[in-house]
Amino acid sequence: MSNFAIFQTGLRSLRAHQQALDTTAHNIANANTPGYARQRAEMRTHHPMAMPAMNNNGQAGQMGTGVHITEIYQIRDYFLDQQVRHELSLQGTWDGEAKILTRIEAFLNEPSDEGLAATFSQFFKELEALSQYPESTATRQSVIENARMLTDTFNQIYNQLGTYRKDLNDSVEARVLEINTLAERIADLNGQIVRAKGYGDKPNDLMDQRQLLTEELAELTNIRVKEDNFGSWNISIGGFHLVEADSAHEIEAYEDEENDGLFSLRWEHNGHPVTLRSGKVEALIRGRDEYTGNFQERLNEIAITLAEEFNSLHQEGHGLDGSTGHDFFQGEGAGVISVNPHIIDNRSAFAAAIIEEEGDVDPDLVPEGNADNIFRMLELRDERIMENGTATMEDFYRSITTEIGVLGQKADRMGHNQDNLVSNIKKKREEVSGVSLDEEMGNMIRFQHGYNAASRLISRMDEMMDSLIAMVR
Amino acid sequence: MRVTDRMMSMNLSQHLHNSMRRMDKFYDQLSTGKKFSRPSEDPMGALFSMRARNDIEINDQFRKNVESAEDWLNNTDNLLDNLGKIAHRTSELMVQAANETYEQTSFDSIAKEVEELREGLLELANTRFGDRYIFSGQRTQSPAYERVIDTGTGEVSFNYLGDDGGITFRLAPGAEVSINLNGEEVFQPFFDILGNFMENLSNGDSQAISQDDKAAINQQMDNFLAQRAEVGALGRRMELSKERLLDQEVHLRKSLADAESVDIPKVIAELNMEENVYRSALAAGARIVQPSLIDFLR
Repeated sequence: MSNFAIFQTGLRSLRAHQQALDTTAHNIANANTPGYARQRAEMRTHHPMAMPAMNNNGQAGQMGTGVHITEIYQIRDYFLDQQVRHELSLQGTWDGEAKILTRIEAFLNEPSDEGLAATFSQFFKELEALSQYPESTATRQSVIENARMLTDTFNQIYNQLGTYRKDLNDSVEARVLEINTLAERIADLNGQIVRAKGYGDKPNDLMDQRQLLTEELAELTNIRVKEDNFGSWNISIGGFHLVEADSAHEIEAYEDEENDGLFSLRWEHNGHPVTLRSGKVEALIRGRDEYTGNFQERLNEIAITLAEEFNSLHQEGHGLDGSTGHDFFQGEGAGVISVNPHIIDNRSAFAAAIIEEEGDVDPDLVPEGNADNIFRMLELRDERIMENGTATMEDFYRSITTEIGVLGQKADRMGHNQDNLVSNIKKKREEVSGVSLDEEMGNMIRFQHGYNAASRLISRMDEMMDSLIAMVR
Repeated sequence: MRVTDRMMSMNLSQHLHNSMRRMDKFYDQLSTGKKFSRPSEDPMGALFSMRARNDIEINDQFRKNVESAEDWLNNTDNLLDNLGKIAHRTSELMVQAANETYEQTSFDSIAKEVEELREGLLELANTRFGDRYIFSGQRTQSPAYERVIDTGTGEVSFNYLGDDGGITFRLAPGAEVSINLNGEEVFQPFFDILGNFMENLSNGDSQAISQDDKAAINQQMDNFLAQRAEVGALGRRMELSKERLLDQEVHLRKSLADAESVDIPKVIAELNMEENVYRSALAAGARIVQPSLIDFLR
């Protein structure tokens, strides 16, 4: 073996330590980069030199030729990554639901002195006052004003829910766009990664990016990730590929006629519906259809029942002006219910009295102090006319607020749990993949010393060569 | 287990965040005095609170109803008292007229007083409470009685203008009580008695006065007593109702407080504890930036 081989060995060592130091520097630089997994330069002994010669003079065989870096790999636990994705998706659902339900609660504004329960109560209270004083125009006015307040509150809550429902619908479309963009970028990265791997490289940083994007995607929806033999990540939702190697399939949000023209999701390439189980998009859809839509329906039920029952009583009574047969409320549903303008303009047409005559009569035939119809109206408050005769209107409304409360509480708790779970798993992952500066410093010193020693070796070899050459002179 | 710098800061921020969250809740509770501001913070509590609020409102309304009914009844009782006085005076005059030796002038002067009494009776019949005539049944905007003078004969009669409808108050759901007295029943017999008395006076028929009229007025005084007893009984019922409603209100307010009011000393104690936790977390956080290996490398 020649003396010059030592130069080679020294050089390799220099190079290897240089690379290891580079990796350390990269780690330190990315200590706080989201999604970064620490990297290690894998040092291996370089191919030894065998000495299979006829005239081998008994030298020890297989001379080592130093060190080289075989690969730069990242330290990851793929099982933890998978868990993070799964839990992120659930976190997306619960956080999303909690936000939506908090908004709905804010619309209902219960318990308070301004909510629907309070205005409902106030209306009946005024009615009660009128029952003692049916001839008073001031009290009639007050009943009508309170009825208008009640219908306004109905309208307001219903319409706020309606607007919010539209907002949620718009968000569904925006989120789907986000999914498609992410899918596109992941597919792109897949391509780059496969190409880099083809050259025998380890595209660690691209893989970090892909990992990060995939986690963003997981927050939005439930995904399954499978790595193929070439290093691509194939991502599927409900059995259909969203990302397949370096191409992405788009999800399309289309206006669904069967669902009030709100957005439903389907695959653009085959038209199959997209089945979501969790994630932010699912929370939006649930919030839109199951919560907002459902509560609107139920408010409608109350408003319609109130209008129907109240009107049928009101029609049978006589006003101070002798007229009868008027509706008190008009408009079908919570969004449009209002007080009949005829009653607003003619307070005396409010049918407080029950008399024997039918049809419009001379005002003189209606005793001013007759409040018999009001008593029937007041009984309405305690009648179980909702839900197949099991609940009063107020019971029914309270059950809505309680349900929103219970759902909100559940979403809140689950969201909080999920936060903890995700951060725990992320901590576990940090334990494996995170950069510890102390550790890197230790490595740095090691590699520095290695580098110094290798350079020392070369300079000593140089001196040796000097003395050798000097011998010749 | 490997511990990295980021893990420590992750832990720190998570603990600080949780601690802040809890403190925020306590601050909220202390500043509002309520256990929750949204139903989702305590759905069952919110349900109880909504129910209790509602029940208090209703209770309040019924109490108002009972109080107005009481006013009405007190007023009626006073009127019946006055009616009793008129009846008493009438009876005295009848005794006087029955004992009077026949002398038309003295009958005439009695008749004058009786006429005044009748005017007083008309006034009583047309008493208003607020702006409602209380003896007109449901015809509360018209006087109960009007005086009609026959243009031909000059005869005076009194016509009832009201109806027999009841003025009703609700004391509880389904418990409606009619609290007015029928004006016609109360006043008509009395008007008739006075009418007959005056006629007998003008005819100088002391016989009829001492027999028929005297018997009639005694009967009438008994009636007034019976009516007062009736009104009194109703009044006592109102009193009982009011007591019951007041009791209920105390009870309801207590359950509302139980449902939504915070136990302030308890929350303050918990807040103190939480503040300690937060302080220690912050102190721990300050130490995370402790010297690292870097400081020792030259």
